[in-house]
Amino acid sequence: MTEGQYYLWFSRIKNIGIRERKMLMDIFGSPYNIYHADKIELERYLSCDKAEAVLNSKNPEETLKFENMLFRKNINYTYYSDDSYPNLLKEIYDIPYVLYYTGDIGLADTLNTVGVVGARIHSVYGGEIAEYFARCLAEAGITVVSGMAAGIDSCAHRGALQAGGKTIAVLGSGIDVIYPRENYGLYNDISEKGLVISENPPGEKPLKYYFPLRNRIISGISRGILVVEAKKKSGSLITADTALEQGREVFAIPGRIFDPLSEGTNNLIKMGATPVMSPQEIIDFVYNINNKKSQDKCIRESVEQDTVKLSDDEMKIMDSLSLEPKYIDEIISECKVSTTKAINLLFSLENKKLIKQPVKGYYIILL
Amino acid sequence: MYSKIYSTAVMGLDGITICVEADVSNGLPMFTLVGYLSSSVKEAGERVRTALKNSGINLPPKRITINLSPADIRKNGSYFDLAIAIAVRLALSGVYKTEVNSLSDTVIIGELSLNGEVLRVNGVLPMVHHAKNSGFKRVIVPYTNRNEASLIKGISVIGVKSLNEAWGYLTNSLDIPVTENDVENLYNKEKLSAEYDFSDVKGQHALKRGLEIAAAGFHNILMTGAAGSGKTMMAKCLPGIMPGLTFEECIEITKIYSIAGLLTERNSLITKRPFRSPHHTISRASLIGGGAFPVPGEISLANKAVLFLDEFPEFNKLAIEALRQPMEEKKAVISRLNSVYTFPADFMLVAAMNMCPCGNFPDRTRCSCSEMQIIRYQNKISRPIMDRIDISMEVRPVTYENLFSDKKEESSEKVRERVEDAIEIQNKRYRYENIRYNSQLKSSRIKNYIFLGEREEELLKRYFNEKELSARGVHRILRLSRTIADLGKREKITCDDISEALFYRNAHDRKTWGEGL
Repeated sequence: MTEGQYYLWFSRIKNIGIRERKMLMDIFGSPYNIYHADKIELERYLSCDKAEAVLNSKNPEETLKFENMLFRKNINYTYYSDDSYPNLLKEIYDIPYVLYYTGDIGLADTLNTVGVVGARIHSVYGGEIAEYFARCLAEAGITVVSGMAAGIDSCAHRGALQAGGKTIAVLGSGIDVIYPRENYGLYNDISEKGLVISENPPGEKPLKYYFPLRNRIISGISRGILVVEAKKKSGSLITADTALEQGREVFAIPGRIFDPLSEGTNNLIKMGATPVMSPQEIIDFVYNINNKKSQDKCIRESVEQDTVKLSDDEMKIMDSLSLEPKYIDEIISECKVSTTKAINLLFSLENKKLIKQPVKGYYIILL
Repeated sequence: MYSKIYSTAVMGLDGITICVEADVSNGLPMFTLVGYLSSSVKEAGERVRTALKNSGINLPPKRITINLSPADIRKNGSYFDLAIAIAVRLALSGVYKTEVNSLSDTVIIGELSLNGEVLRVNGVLPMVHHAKNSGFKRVIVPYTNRNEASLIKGISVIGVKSLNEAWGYLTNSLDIPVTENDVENLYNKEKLSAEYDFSDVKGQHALKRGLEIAAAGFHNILMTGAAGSGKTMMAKCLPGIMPGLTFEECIEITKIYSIAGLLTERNSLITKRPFRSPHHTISRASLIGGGAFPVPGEISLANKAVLFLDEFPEFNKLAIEALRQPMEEKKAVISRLNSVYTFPADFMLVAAMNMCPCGNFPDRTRCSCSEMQIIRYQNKISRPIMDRIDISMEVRPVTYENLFSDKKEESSEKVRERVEDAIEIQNKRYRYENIRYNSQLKSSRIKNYIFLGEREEELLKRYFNEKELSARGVHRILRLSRTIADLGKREKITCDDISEALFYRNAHDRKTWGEGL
């Protein structure tokens, strides 16, 4: 068996927890040694039935078959001692010894990685912010890492792809299981232009307890984690916790104190996370660690209104809009224009890609 | 002795002539009714016998046979009682032909109570209408139905209170004046009605405009939004901005209400546009119409008017889907074993719905429904139904400032004037077609009536490619833009009209509904 196959075998032994796996690796040094250890040796460190489980799981044919299945499905894998294994990930405590992936594994090893995470249920503002930050980070050459979940995660991936940048999706399900289903297109885009990784073998269902484990990988391969929007009890806070354990920087977007969707992020800031108000702060941080000069080119100052000529009425409407969605009635009464006129003005602004309707009848400006 | 009396029955929306024959002969004492009768007609035998006894007629111990012809049509209802009683009395008394007012051109309708009183029945208007059309000169109806019956000109209406009164009138011993109804006066009484006036609603400018467009072109409209945002109130404003009914429309609506038993003695002519808002537990049959002897459903009661379905997704899926055909055909067709019944159903659908099960979407700070729940909830309304709704509008709860602002809001009357003008333009445009409104224009005829300039064409084309519209979607936008231009009395559709139509169009994909606020 090759070294990779030993790792595949080792990572797929049932009834052995993360902690035991870690202990065995610390003691024996490699899956090869574990494979060839006898019962007495194993029983010194493991309970009888667990040692039994290790011994019984030895099945070279099955491992070979599994590896072939991976190749057939165009799924690659990398393992702890492999050259392509991300170096950042080797620093963490509960290392995933095998990672399945599709796409360019080199992306995880660029050291220019920042995780952008947040709640599934989010506000329009949060979504726009996530997309904007991801876009700016990607434009500055930083790889955006996230979990491809619904909500903020998807926005982050989308923002990075929009800028033509690189992005990594870390899945909580099996590497070929798309969850949520709506992200089918996103999954294809990321595996084509970026990287999709998972520590779970193909076909694994998105079970509840996989997601906290997935979060340690997100923070593990990132230099820092940006939490965009999180409720009081949110999965993204677990990511922030693991990030702290792993010694990563935690950034958070400050929110209003009574906003339940920002309660989690505000708490993070209270506990010492860095509040950020511009993507530049994160870019500077990443380049500082890497001792590189940041390129300074990425941040556009709000909307480039000078490039598009707007009429006075259009300006008036633009001025009344912000990232906070505004209902058309409010725009009408604030700008004191007729309903028909307002609809026409908003339509022309939308056509110029300056504003958009996140929900029919509500408008925000585009960053 | 033998006697013969005419009565009528209702089949769907039309009347048919029923001939009631009675024969009294020697034999075992019996009282038999024949002629394919449902049980409500069979029971008439008991009622008639007792009513006759209590009116002072003692039935002799003879064999009495009653036949209702044509015998191949199933008869239902209680309106034959009076005719049967008169026929029996006639056969017993033997006064036939000589002393009785000409029976061959008289129709008798009415239910009997045991003491010989004549009771109110449903469906008198269509029956009298039929009687007049079949050449009858006189109709005897229950006293409480006389106003309704006299809406039909060209036939004399006699309202009777009891069996004895009817007999007295027929034998010339009692003179009952013909009921005259001042139809003109009734019609001019009060034509407009709405629970709320537009001026009662503060703010909601965009929705008001949407309703105005809907009323002008008779477009179906969907209002979405959180609970308590005023959807119901706005819908109730709608009848107030629709033009008054013409006399013919009034009669058509009144006929349906007559069959449904919704007329009262005082309110014998429906002059106000109805506003029907059935509860969401309504069954398919009561929405579309049905029953062993079909009666009109809510969609027919909302004929020429508003059918408001609040909490749209909560309706029975089958009931909603059954709306498809009536929405296209403007009529409800109900097939039964022996005949097909057709009720008019030219209604304007006004639907209101929440965006998610908890009702707070798109306000994501309060709505915690999962993405799947929201999608599932919104998918309860199928595409074919959504395709038939032209306008959709997101409604938001009114803000405090707006609620208590002193700003004068436009009244319903002002809006109605614009709507009336727009409808007049449409009527003129479609005088050679069999339609009245832009929304009814068939896709194949659009190119004959709706024209775009070069710039407008350009705009639509760009939008078409950008938003991946369907052909049906484009047609809807064209119809909507035409209505908007008509409201502005513009002969040519402008870019502004199209952009407004694009704003109000019902794009029922998740993309435009977005992820929340």
